[in-house]
Amino acid sequence: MAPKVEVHEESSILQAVILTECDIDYGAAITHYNPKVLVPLANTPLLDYTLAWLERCGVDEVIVYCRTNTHTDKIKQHCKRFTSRREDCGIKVMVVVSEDCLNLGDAMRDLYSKSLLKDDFILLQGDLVATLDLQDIVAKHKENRLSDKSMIMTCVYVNKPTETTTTAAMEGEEERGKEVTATLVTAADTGKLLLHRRTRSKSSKISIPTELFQASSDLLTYPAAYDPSLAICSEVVPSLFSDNFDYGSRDSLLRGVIEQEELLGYSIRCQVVQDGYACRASTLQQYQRVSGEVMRREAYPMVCESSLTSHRIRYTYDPFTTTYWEPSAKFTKGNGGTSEVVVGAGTEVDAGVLLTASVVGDHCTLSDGVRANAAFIMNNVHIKSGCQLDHCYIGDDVVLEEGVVVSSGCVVGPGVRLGPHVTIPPGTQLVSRPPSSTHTPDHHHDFDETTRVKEADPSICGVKGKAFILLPEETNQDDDDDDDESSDDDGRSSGPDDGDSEDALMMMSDDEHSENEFRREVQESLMNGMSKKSAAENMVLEINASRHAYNVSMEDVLTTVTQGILRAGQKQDGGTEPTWPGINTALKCFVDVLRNYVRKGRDQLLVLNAIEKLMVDSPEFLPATQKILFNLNQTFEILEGEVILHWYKKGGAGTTAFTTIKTSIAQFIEWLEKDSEDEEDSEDEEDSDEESS
Amino acid sequence: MAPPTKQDFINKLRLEKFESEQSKAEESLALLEHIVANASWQTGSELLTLLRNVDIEVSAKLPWETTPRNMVQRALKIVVDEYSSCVGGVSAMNTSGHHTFPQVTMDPTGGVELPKCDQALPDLRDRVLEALAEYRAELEQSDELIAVQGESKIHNDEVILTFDWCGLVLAFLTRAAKKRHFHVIVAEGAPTYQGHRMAESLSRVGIQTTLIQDCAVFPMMSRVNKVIIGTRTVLSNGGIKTDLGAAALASAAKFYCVPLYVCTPTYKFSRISGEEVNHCGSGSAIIPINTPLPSSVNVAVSKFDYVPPENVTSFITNNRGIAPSYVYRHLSELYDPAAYHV
Repeated sequence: MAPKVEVHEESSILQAVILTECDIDYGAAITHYNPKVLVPLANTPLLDYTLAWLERCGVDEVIVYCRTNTHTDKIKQHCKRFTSRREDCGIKVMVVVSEDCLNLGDAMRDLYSKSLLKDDFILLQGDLVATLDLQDIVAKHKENRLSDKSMIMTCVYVNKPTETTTTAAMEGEEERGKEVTATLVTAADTGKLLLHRRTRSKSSKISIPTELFQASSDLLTYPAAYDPSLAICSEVVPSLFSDNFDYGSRDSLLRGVIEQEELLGYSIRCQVVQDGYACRASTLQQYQRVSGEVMRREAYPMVCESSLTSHRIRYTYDPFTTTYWEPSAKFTKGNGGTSEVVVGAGTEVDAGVLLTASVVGDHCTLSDGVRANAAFIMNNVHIKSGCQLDHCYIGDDVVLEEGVVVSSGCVVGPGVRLGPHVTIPPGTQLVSRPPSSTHTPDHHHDFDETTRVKEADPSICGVKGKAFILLPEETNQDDDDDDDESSDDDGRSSGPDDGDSEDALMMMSDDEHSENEFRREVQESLMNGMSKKSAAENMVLEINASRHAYNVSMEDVLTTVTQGILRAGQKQDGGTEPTWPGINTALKCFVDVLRNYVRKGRDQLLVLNAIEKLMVDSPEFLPATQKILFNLNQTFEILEGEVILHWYKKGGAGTTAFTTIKTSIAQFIEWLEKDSEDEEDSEDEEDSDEESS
Repeated sequence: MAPPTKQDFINKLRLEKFESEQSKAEESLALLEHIVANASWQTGSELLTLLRNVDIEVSAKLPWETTPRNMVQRALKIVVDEYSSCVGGVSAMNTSGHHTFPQVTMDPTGGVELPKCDQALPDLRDRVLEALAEYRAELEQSDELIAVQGESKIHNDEVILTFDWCGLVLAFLTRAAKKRHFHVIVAEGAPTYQGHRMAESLSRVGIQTTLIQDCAVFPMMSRVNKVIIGTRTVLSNGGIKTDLGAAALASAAKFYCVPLYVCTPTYKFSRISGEEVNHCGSGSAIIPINTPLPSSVNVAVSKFDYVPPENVTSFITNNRGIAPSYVYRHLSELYDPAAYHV
């Protein structure tokens, strides 16, 4: 019997993709020091729950997908430890690092281009704690796929009892809860997903479009199914993502596929699982909830007392008070209402401590009189007598002096000292270093939170304290990429690839490839636009579309467009030699397109550099240069005279072609110089341009 | 078939992929045989350490799994026996007085120490393998040997009470039903309800069957002639550790003076002394799905039950019937005294 099973497994390996960059974060006070997926939940990193579950479900290969940042190595090391514990014969864990992955869509596109996904795969987030029977779900998915080829994805939902007893102390719980549930309408016979909506409204009514009733006689409606962001995807899904650059998240894919069913010919099914446990520790509120549920053994067989890495029994468990403690910890079970507690190795908890629904890490000391409710205390924390902790997160190496009160929703970052006798207001995030220095070289928009620097204020952190308040300001910066050049700049300048050299190489070639593709596409659309005389805004749309598809920075777009317009003029003429009339018509045709991209003085420089670079590749444009510049300056007013002069004096872009250009445009420059001397008023503007560039 | 590895075995054990205790026993024996045959060891001590590592690993990760540990203990005993008989054979020519070897290590304080078997004996490997093969044959026959006792233990028109699913009890009753006509009452075995499966299997072989709730054993007990159950582990004091609900059943039987027989192969005899190792399950096993239960309600679910020796009448084993008070004697025959506190 055993060999048969093996043959079967070899023929099709089951893959899973874990995204470690989850859409929602815990806030910089935690994630600056530790990636979200390695934040311990009941003293076990979140990622371990996911990996252990996948292993249990017989998944053969796991791709852990993360973005290049300071935590990449940590995740890599963690995964290595996890597999080496299993003597490398169990589940295979592969860490894939990407430099510019912002969302699920980017990850899918990247994995598609690397062609790492061979067959059906499981797509999930790294903060998921689940015990669902994956094999059953995957088997159903495959069965459905055999009978219905158009089915590309199975979304898994969990039908949970409504949480009427959510802990009131964590505010915003209700709002958060809505984000993780979805209203579903499915065809009763096939389970095909017909309507997917994020539950937001409080009304008890659901509007269902009547055309849904035409398609199928029986509809099943789930008003609020819990969404663990788990999906079984076929190999079509990543290709769909890469065809549709605007698909950022799974929701957008769902919307796209459902709305364009006739067009694409794809459908999505969903399975609403009744049995088993699944919950994402997506926010700190959810983290607290999952932690409680794990302690109450709802995620059985993943329970606190057995280590998920080594499977050893690490904690002693007392079922009557739901307490777990390491045998080396000094902890008296069942004193005065202590319940739902996990206590790590070497920790000393005095007899007068009251702990409820809390987790204490390794090597901590909690003195008499400490009261903690739903406090998550990491390693090496020292809490002196009289402290009160309520619904908070205490990082590594924190010291709380006597009488510190940490109110609900607080996050105390690693290394912070507080006290004595201070009260931390609710929802405060504290870090040990002034917030300005906590900025990582990481430029995900989550980290764009502007922070205000403050001195270590004794009124906040006490006389012995050392802490700074981290003020997260709600940034409404959405995924609109139209005008945030600054973030594009950042994307360019950030490049400390401390990842594998192999990964880096792969990224390089990918980038180059996509740039070439982009260039080709822009050229094509320009040629088309010229022959059809398309309107400028349509052209801009088309170019922006290609830009998103290949993920090209604004500078490259401008360079490519400039060169493309000039080349279009050449090609339109038909001849191999570029002639001025051809170029002129092209310029006239696309002047609005170009204008759309040229906004600052620096952009003008980019245009000039682009022209110069074009000369390097194709010197046949050289005779027309002067006319091009003249027209851009005088007729179309895209380039300012000052900028051209500045560019000229600085020696252009420094390419080999500059010397030849210099001679060919000398006349024009001379004229410009005379011109600028006449208008001395504009001197100021020039300065400001210089500064801005 | 791929050679069994310790890692695979533990994983299989961990993921609860084994059908029965019998298959656990057979697979762990296969693993031990593989270690004896293929691992690189020179002296007896090295082999003992290798074997004991399996035991240590199981007890650290899955302390409630006694069968694999019993198999290791049994294998240790075989190795020590073979070694001492080898040494005895050799040393009879050289020195004398080494026959008392096992006695030397009967040291209550030094329980952790393995017996010293320092000599490298070339034919030890073959002899151990031979003995293990013999033991395997015994193991494979054990179910059959127990089942054949069915007709001698059960009489016509008796009412038998059993509990939960147990393949051995099923075989025992099935065999008896060939010659005898009797009635079986099955307690359902919440929360896994494997008793339903048992009742179905019994009625399929033509035995008159009644299914009852676990908590209804007491009112039923007055009309029962015998209680026959299986077990997971026989503890060293003569008590048993088995599925939840057995203790209530056994005390009801005691109250009505109904004899309680436990069908068990000898590999389930364990050196674990008490009921201290309990494995806790999850509340979701007993709370129906989608029941909104406030999180303040503490749900504790244990997996095993402990039946004290005074509530057990006799063990029906593949060797012979053994009284609970006699289990200790049997243990010392099965396992090496030196390996007591492994």
